[in-house]
Order: sequence, then structure tokens, then C-alpha cells
Amino acid sequence: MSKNLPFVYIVDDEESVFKAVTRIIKSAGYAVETFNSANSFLSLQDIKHPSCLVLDIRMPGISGLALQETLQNKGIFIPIIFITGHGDIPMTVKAMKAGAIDFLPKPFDQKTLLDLIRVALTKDKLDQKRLNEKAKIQELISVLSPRELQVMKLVIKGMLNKQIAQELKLSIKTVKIHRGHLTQKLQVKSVAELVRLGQLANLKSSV
Amino acid sequence: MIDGWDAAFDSIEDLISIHDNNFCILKVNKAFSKSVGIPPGKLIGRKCYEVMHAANGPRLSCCHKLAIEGKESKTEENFEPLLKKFFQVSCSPIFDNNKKIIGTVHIARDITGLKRAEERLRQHSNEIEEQLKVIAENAPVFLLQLNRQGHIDYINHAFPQFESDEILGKPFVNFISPEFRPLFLNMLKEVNGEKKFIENELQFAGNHNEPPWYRIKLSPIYRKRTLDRFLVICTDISEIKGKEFEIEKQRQEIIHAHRVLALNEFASSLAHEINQPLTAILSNAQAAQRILSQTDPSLMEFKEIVADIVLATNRAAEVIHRLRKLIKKGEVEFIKLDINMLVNDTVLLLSSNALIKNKFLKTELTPGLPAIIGDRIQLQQVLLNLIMNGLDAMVDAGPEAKDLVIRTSLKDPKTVVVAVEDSGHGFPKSSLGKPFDHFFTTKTQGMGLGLPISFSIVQAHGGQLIVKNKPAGGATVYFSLPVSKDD
Repeated sequence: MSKNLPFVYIVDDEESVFKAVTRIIKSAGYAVETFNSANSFLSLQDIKHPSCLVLDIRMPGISGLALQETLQNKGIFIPIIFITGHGDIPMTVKAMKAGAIDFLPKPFDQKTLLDLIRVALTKDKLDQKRLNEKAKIQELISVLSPRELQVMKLVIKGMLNKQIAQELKLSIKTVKIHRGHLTQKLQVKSVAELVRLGQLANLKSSV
Repeated sequence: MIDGWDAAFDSIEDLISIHDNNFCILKVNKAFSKSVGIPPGKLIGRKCYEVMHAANGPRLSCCHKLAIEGKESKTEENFEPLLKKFFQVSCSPIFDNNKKIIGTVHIARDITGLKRAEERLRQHSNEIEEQLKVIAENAPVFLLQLNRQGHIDYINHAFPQFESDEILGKPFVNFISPEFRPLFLNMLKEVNGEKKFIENELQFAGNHNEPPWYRIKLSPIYRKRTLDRFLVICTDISEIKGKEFEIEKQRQEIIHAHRVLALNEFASSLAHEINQPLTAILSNAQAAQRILSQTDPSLMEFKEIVADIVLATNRAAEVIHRLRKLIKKGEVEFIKLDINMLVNDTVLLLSSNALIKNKFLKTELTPGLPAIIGDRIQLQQVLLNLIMNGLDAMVDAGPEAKDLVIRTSLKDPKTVVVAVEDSGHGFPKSSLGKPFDHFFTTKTQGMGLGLPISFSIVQAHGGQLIVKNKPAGGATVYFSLPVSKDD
């Protein structure tokens, strides 16, 4: 049953705190998994979604802030709610700049916590949807031949067939054939759609 | 033969005579007749008391009379006003064949010269005694003579708090404050040997709030090479002691003020330290509320929550307790302490402070160290100072300086050493001699009192504090403490 529940991960070195927080979150109907260090969270094989991470900003070893950075570098997307303490303002600013959902100064109210979790989970759903879409598009793009990819990038740039042929030293006819193939492969009907796909896939318009 | 004996008697300077039972002189030697100025012929047959004492009968103490009555030799000393001389007289009875007393041999030795010398000596010694008495009575110290049992035989003048007759004959130790009695009894025991004297400072018994302090010098007096008495010289040092206490009190106040100041520095870490259990308590309580509002609340879980709330509350209380103990201003109390426990307590207080500075406190404690004797709060203050200094030095050194290590070890069976090793930049070479100067600081916000105060605390504990730079950078502050004697 818990497979279908939204997931909340908690990373906190303070057992007394994460135990209490776990109780609140569980009682709100979420699945919870706790970790007492950043390292043990990093060794987690598969992060479930929708989910969010409740993270103590200050821990011995790898700090919460460092964990946030590591996750980003690894391309792992999970919304983070930071638990902060007295005198953590400079760290909190860094965390927010790095895209944290919000921060909870200790001691915090359960309502605030649960509200933030809801916000985080909503964001995660959107993020995941976008990521899925991106993955799907990237998959479509991956079946294009190198030539077709070149042509696509130039189309997105706004070039006409004639210009593309000149640029790639091809005949206009050949360009047209490539365009036909790629619109078929990508299942798009217009140039506008093609441009949107390119944006979603973060496709650089350079050759 | 008889003539020979007479010549012998006549050559003796003592007055020799033979008297019969009726005090009649039967025979005299030359010295006798010369002494009374009557030729021997005119003396024979006369009563001895008439000749010697110009009296009508024998004196009560006449040893001739006593010798006849007691039938044994008698001696006496008496002054003869007629001859103006002292005599030592001895009379030995003479018996006839039937063992009946028929008279005595009376020998009178002139001891006038001896008596005069004796008299002069007595007078002289009385004078000396009188002079000594005057000196003693006016001396600004108390002089006492104790017998071998330590009872007071003599005192030069009364103690302000006791009457002389109140203390004479009593054991001196009774007048010493109970806590110093064992010390004094030990002095009595120890001075009875090679030692010429033993000196100690101790407090007298009394009803006052502040019983007087005396410096006591105890010397043995020997007679015929065995201990006979003791001489005690007591000097009132209450005033000096009062000043010493005043200075010590001021020193303690500075130490306390500095401690409070140091505490301000890590107030934020304490807030962190207390926030932790507070967070657990609030979250647990709210979780409990949520569980209770469910349709089928789990009593088991509710129980667990309450137990966790109690745990967290205790933890917060303990933080406050530790803090209180540290801020507490009280009498310095020297007790047996476990140095490792002291280090652990202090590290607990400071670990959050270190974490905030992104540093870590590590301990390498030698287990099973003997107890030391010291004041918990002050020693904790030393650790606090040294650890905070180390952390600050490491903050200045940048993020690579991570660990501060506190080690304990046994230097020798009598000394425990604590080392606080930071990974900062160390003391500048030019200042290695200076860390103990007041107001010397390498910190921008330092007062420069931490090390001198730590130094003075360690010194007061009979230990040493030294500062060394590590070859690889960073400084180590070592301090040693003597272990408890009965450990």
C-alpha cells in the first residue's frame, strides 16, 4: 500500500528529532524513510516519487548544505525542506539560493511542516512530469541520425531550407528529405512544436 | 697512737668534737677551739649548746640530740648566729661494749662560702627569670610551654579569646579549630625527633565568625637528652590571612567574570543545544495530538511518544544543569575528580559551538586514569578557555583546519596531563613567551585573559600549563595536574 503513498525522506543526525518528525509525517498519511547521515541517504539506490527530503542543515560529516549540492551535481531532483537552527542564517540563504523549498527554524509547528511537505510534493510531481517529458523527448531525439539532428538544430535556429542547404553544403532536396524524416520521427506537425521540443530537451542550437 | 690520731684530727679543717649524752663536750680538735676562740682545756666539760649557741638547752633540730634519741647518724644544716657561719653538721653515735649510747662524734663543716655562692646564684637566676618574665609578658607573640602530653604548663599572657586560668593545665590542642587538630597532633609527633622546630599556619577554635589565624612554631625542649617539654610560639596572622583571603576572593571574582564572559561567546551554541530537545518535544507533542484525533488511536504509540518527550525534557534540563554548574559562583571546592569525565562534560557543552564553526572536537582519553584533586568549575573553565581558543585559532586558519583533539594521559604515576591540540596557525614565534601576559591576544575580539586565568587556575591546583607550537602547524596547550594522594 505504501508504494502508492507520497514519500518523505528525513535526514537528521538527531534521533530524538527525526523520530518525532517521522510520527507527525506518518500520521499525515505519508510514507517515511529516515537516515541519520547524508552518506546513508546517498547510498540509497532508488528514490521514489512523488517525494521530498526533510534535511537537517547542520550535521557532522557531510552537512545538509553539502548534500544538496551533491544531489544537484548528480542530477538527482528532489525538493528539499531544510531544518535549521539558531544562527544558521548564512547557510539558510545559500540553501534557498540553491533551490530549496523553504526552511524550518527549530522548533517548528507541525502545520508548517506539513504545509511545506505538501508544497514540496506538488513541486516534485511537476518536476517529475517535466523530467519524464524531457526523457521522452530525449529518447525521440536519440533515434535521429546525426544529419537529421544537424538539420533540426538549424531549423530551430530559424533558418530556411535554402540557408540550411548552404550551411551544410547539401542540396535543398536532401534537406527537405531530412526534415520530412525528422518531423515524422519526432511526431511534430509544425516548426513551432519542433522549437518547443528543442527547448524542453535543452538542445543547443549550435552545430 | 692516740697522739697520732689527735694530730690527724687537729689537721682537719672541720670542727670535730665528742659529746656525751648530756651535751657535755668531752674532746675537741684544734679547728673547733680556734673557731670558738676558747682553748681546748676550757672547753672540756662544758655544755655544747652554751658554747656553740649561747643557749640554755639544745635546739629542737640539734642533730646530736636526734642522733642519741634515734641511735643513728644525723645531719643538719644550720646557721650559727654566734659565729656568723653556715655549718653542715653530722653526728654519729658512739656505743659502749653493751651497745649503749654514750655520746656522739660531732663534725661541723663550714659551708658559709658555698651557701653564699648558692644564694648569689639563686638571686641571679631569680633576676634572669624576672627579666625573662618581663620580656615574655611584653612579647608580641604568645609563648607557651607544654608538657610531654601537650598540656599547657605556662603561658606568657592571655589569648584575647581565652583567660589564662581557663587554659592552664589543659591540652593545647583543645584550643585549636577542630579541622586543624590532626595537623597539630602530627606536629607534636614529628617534632620529637631530628627536627628542631615545625611551623604551620592554623586557625584557633572560637565562637567568632572568623576565628583567628596563628602561625605556630613548635620546638622540643630536651632534658638529659630526652624530650621534656615543648615550646610553642604563636603569632597572630589574622590580618595577613584576611588580606590573603581578600586577594584570593578578588582573583576568584575575576575568574568568575571571565567565565561568564566566555559563556556569552557560546550562548548561540547553547541555544542550539536546547533547541534540539525542544524541537523533539514540540514535534512529539503535536504528533500525539494528531494520533489522539484519529478514529483508532494507538495507545502503544502514544506511550512511546510520551516516553520520548520525557527523554527530551531531561536532556534539555541536563543542558541547563551543566550550564548552571558552570556559571555558579561559589566557594572553591577541592574534591576528587575524574579528568576524563570532566573533559567529556566540557566537550558536550562545546560540541555545538564547534559545529557552528564547522569544526570538530575529538577526544583521545586514556582510560582508567587516577583521580585528581581539584575544583570542578575552575578546571572546566580551563578546558573551556583552551578549547574555545583552539576553535577560534582554527576559524582564523580557514576551512582546512577541521579537528581539535583533546587528549588525556598519565605522565608519571603522580601526574595526569591534558593536551588540547588545535590545527590552527599556532602562536607567532615572537609571542611564544607571552601567552600568559594579561591582555595579550592573537584574536581580534579576545580580551587576552583566557590563558593567564587558565595558568593561574592550573598553578593553584599544583600543576603546570605550557604552550607549544606543533612542527606541522597549530598549537598544543598542555596542562598537568597532580593525582590524588590516596589514589
